[in-house]
Amino acid sequence: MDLTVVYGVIRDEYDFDRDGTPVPHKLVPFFIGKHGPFTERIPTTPDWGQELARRVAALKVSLQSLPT
Amino acid sequence: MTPFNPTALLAMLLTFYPLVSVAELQRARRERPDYFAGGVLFGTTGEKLRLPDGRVFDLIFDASNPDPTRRRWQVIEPGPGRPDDETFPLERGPFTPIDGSTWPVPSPTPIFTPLVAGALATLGDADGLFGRAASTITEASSPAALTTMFHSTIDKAEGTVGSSRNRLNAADPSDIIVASGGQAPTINKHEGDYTEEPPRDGPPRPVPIPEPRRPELS
Repeated sequence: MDLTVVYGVIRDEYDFDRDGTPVPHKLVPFFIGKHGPFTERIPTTPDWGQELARRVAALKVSLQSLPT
Repeated sequence: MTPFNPTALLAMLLTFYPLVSVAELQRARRERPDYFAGGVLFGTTGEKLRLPDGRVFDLIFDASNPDPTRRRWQVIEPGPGRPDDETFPLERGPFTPIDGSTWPVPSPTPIFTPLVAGALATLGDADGLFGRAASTITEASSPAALTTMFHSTIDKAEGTVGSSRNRLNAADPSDIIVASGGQAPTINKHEGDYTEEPPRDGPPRPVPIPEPRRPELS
């Protein structure tokens, strides 16, 4: 199974919590092989790249568990 | 709007929502709306997704099962399918009823009767054999022989046991008791302190060796 990750344009967006405070996050679209698009919203923190990598790795595991 | 991809949706649900329930599905719809492509949840328990183009997907297998371990995520499109689905194509109409005259007529010649008759013929006089075996079993099952043997053995044993029991009842052990009492003084005679000198401990005394005779010098 091809699990090559191809990322789209990453955008900075904001959500608002209950107090109306804007909470920044990054909207990351990507493909894993021929599957997608996946769209993950990663909170904008200094280690957001590691969080994105963790989610992508978990999605790869799930894709490999699916029947082909 | 992000295009809908069933595989991406299923992988996302499997990855980030291990607990399969309608509540978790609604949470996923709220936290990751892009995977649902603007569709809405509906159905008897809210486990179905209707996309803006009208397509419907079932997202939870056995959603009404109270046992959560029986439920699992799925993304399948139920219903009759698309009109252009050629997996099981239907015959184009108009339909015509089946002509019964085209079916083969059963042969009047019996097929299985000769087979069974031939098999029975190979068995020979099976009825007579079974009859003789049955009579043998009946004779062997008669209790007459067992009754005769019972009377000649067990019944006699009862009389023998009775006489032995009577002899035991008539036996008087008083003489044995008296004889035992008479032996008591003999036994008591040996009751008392041990007065004999105990043997010495230690190595045995050396036996004196006589000196050799000295030769006489002249």
